[in-house]
Amino acid sequence: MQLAALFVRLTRKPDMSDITVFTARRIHTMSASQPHAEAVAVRDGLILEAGTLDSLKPWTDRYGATVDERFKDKTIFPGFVDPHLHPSLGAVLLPSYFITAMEWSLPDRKVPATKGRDGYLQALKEGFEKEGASRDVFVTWGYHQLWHGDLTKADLNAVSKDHPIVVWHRSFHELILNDAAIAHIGVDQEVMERHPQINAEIGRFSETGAKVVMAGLKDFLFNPARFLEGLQSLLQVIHLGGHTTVADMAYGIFDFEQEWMAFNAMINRDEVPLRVLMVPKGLPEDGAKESPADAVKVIDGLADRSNDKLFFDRRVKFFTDGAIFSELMQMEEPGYIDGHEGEWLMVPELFEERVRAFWTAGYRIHVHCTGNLGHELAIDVLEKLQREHPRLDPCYTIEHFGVSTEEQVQRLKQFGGRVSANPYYVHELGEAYWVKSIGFERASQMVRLGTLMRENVPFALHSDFTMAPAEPLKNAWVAVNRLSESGKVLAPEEKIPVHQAMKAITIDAARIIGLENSIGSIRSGKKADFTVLDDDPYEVAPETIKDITVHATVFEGRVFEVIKE
Amino acid sequence: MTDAIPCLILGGYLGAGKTTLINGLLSRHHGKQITVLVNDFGAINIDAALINNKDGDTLSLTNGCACCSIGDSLLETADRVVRGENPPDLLLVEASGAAEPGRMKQILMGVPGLKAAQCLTVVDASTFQKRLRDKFVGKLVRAQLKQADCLYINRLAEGKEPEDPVLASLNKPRMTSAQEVFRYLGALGAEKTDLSVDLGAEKEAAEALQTFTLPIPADMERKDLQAKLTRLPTSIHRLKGILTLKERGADQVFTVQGNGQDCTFVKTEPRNRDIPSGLVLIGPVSDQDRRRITDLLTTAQL
Repeated sequence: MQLAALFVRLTRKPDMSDITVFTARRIHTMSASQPHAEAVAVRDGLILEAGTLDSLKPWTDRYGATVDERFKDKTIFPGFVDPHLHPSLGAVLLPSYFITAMEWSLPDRKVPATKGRDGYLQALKEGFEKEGASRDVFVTWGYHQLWHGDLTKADLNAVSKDHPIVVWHRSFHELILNDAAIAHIGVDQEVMERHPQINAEIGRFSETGAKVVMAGLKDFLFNPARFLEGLQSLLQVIHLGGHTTVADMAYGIFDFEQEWMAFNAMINRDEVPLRVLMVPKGLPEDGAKESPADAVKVIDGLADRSNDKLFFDRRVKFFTDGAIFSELMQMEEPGYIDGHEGEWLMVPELFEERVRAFWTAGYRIHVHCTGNLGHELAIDVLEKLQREHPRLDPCYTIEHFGVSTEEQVQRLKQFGGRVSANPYYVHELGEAYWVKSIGFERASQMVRLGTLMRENVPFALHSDFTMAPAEPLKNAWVAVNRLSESGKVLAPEEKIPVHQAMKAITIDAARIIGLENSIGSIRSGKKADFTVLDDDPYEVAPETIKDITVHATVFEGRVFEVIKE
Repeated sequence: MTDAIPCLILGGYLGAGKTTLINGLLSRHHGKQITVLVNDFGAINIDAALINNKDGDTLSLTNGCACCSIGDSLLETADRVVRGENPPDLLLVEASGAAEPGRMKQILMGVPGLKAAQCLTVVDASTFQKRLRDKFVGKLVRAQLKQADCLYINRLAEGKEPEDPVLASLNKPRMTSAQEVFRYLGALGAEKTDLSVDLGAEKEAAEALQTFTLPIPADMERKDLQAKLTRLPTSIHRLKGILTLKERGADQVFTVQGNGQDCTFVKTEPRNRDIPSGLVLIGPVSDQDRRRITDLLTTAQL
């Protein structure tokens, strides 16, 4: 034995570390060639190989190994990947007090589902008593009239007359303020009275009126200390969800430099078990001040700052139509039931011109689309660019995939496009949009993942956090079950099997952001990133997948347990 | 508020002709201070001689006008202009091609001290029928027409208005030449300033106005130049420049501005290469005057 140990020391390269073998009840590798394993050997942050203790012997016999059995009752997956979320939005939102119609699991709090007006007011009162005094402005997020009934300034004044209270709507597009908050922000009296989207009497500021409040709250919301606090909590949210890699799918949403400074300070540290692919927005300046060629140059220049934790990969983000939560997606005929129109976030010609510049420069393009007219534009431009300047690489991804048609999916397939989808829309908006917005057929078929499978279009699932909880298992649960908020199954033909859903948060998510060679499955040579679950999604009843808890993550071979309350 | 600033949104789809109109307006010599908020700063094309100063997102012109980039918040940018030290007589806001003017009007309602905005939508007569049928922007272009208070029908073929049922159904005041638009803008600012400048009629006067740049010898003493400037004819309305001059024998850079009678010299960091050297003079001067001024200022002797 001693001799063997000596032999090990002599034959090993001096800079190599010891081998650790993790065992588990089951390892789902997400590799089709070897779907299951019982043990995985790791060295220097990389996977040597997965298999059984016996099959790993060529390594362990030669070098010795520490067998770590702490996960022997657990299920191991490749580290979860969220290919589309917004750390900066999360950082701004998380320091707020959550009162929401749906459950949210946050690291420092478990937010219960609150429904009904009385329930909301009770939760608001409790929240204010708990946290109100510690904040200059008590900001609570998550209110929505569909679930919480009408809320007015008088209700907030009843909670506090003197301390500013701001109720931030679930959609982010509306705010309700008490008198103290209106005074704190210093909203001009004349503006209060004349503004068509400010209701002074009930203290409600919607859409363009909300902008008045947001401008007044900017210094508070974007205060660096608050932002860093929010980013810290965001990292915990991401860990709790079981992620080891995420993409910031619109880096620069507020400001390239300030976001970079904050991210670099908080994420580029050894003790943070996360890497972030940075996908900048393709319009470096709002209003497209630069020429398309200059915009490409600006984005090119960002890549120099890449490090191991935060890195760029010649990807860029664009937008077609408006936000789905605000009912501003662009819809083909027959449009919305109430006849209102969606909006373009960029003029279609400008969108095409800008995308073309990045396409020809070899960038991979990610396009936010929510309505079926938004998808139509994105796919029209894809078709045009493929005809002008054909590319064989997977270079065009539809992001969100709200309301689309089967024909659009077929055409997307034809021209080499892929999808990164937010299935949570089905759960939170499916029923509300069925009844109030676009009717049953289109609302129930939102995020048509079954069609993607039938047409064999590669796809991933994402949270777009803060638009949906950053919980891959919850997204997988929606994709598998398509349960609406009240428990109805919406478009069962668009459900996908558990295995497809688990791939969509691991290997297929890695593929969508071009990292499939290094992460996303458990196979020899990839990074030793794992997500350790207390139960096996393949074995539990499908409708309980969302309740499976994340026990730990392993990031490049190091274990990071999830601290449970 | 009695002294609220009038505001006009210049709407219309991409390529309708908004920027041309803005360039024309900013380059004219009128007595009005107009601040224009634009989306695309790069498209603004003003004779360098008219530029007084370029500071980040703001371009100040010698005719008292300014041009600012809207940046990421129309509300905050407009608010900053209105609250600024030198609020304009008229605020002109260029809508992005994707914008619905109705929504912009509402955003601008959030700016204290600004009158409820009017909207002038620019229509490109040669393309708008095609746009109206476009599957992506047809509804948007229609909304931009419907939400306008008045229309400027641009690029008319042989001066004839298109016979279009959509246009015909909109009972809105129409203009068909840039002159009419300038006249209309002149009237908009009038209530506040009592300056009913007919910006349209300014064309004749503008032709007589001359803007010319004279190289000033670097060996001229500052006090000599100052003395010379007092001898300029009163027809010089305005002058400005960044000049290297001698101050007690040493080279020194000055920013010079004002008119002949009242002119300031401010010591300045060495010049930015973008700004033309020499002294820019503006005024309705005769050729004879111009020769006299040239002789006066381009020789070092008093």
